[in-house]
Amino acid sequence: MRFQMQNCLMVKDQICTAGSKILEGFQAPFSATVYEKCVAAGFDFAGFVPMDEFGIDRLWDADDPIDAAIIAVREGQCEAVLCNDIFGKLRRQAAQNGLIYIHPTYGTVSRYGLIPTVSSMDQVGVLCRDLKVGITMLDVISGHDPKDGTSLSSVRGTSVRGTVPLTPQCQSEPSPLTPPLAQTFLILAAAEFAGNTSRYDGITFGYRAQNASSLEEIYIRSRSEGFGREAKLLALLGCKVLSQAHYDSLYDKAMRIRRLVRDHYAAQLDKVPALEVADGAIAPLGGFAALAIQGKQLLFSGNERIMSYEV
Amino acid sequence: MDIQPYEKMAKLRLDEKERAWAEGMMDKLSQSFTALAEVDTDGIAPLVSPLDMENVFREDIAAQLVSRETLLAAAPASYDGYYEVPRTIE
Repeated sequence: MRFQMQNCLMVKDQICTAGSKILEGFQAPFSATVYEKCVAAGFDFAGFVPMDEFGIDRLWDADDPIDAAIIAVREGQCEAVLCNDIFGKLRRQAAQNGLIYIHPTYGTVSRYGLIPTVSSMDQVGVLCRDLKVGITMLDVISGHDPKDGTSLSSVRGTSVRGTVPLTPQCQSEPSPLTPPLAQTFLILAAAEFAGNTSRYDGITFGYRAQNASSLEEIYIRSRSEGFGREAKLLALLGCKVLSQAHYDSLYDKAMRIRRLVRDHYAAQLDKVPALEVADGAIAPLGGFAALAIQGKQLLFSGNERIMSYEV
Repeated sequence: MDIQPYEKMAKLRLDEKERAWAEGMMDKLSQSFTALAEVDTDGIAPLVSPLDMENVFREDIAAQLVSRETLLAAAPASYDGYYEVPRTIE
């Protein structure tokens, strides 16, 4: 199988920047577990696909150019791309382009060697055209990895035995889950992004501003010159939601809402008997109508963008 | 919204154009966050990680995944086995 990876997954001695100038020239000191597993399985690595800065570039723009990973699979440059789709862009664009994005359950796939962005949501997924290819890839990359502290100790088999709608009532009756999911997501993502990007200091690796006269100037100028506009905004937002004045009403509140969301989905799954024989679930992935299939349009409810095809 | 306190926390210095954009965005986002207050979370504990995981321990044996030389080679400037920075003591 011919596969590519987003440039946020490391291959020893190769440049890995996650699309950011802050990691300019960074040579990976080791390889990601998923890469080593693919190579061991005899897959052919066809290089990196470029990515938006940490996957967040143009997060707030209406203009949403098609991602390079989508183009790579759509145009047949490779059969699968390993990606980290935190913000849901790849899941959405995959659906819009007749492709499949498999977002594994957190802990299924090792994140060792993945540039951390939003730690509690980072997860290596598979973008592909053919579901069989995706499942084969998922079989190879999933499994416990002692090098990743959030890796599940046992991972079930990943063959898909059945699928069910996660919210079967989404059209007939309104979902009882109504929290402001997009806001909750953004608050948690910003907080973790601010923490994860604090490591970029211009000292230990990546980009350093020239001619800075003090340590403090190295930090500030390297970061200000190295991060793009969206990354800066997300880091600033993260500092705000974690600050003393806003921690309780924003960050802590969002973490409580996250538990409500998880409990809601767990209860939904319990209600669906078909799941006893299913490893996967199909759920709405965006507030847009799916493409028409043989003239019939499939409609999904609007607010459940944080879940998609999960295996 | 004055975002300069957050710039200080994040060790960032935005130029005028970036700051005007970021302030507008922060205002807009902060307004949308008021919706959180409407959710009843009384008695609900914060969820830090999506997984209920316990700490994983391994044998207390030192492991070196990456050598000192490799790590120092990734630094923008190093000297004699150390990271090189401007003078820090006046």
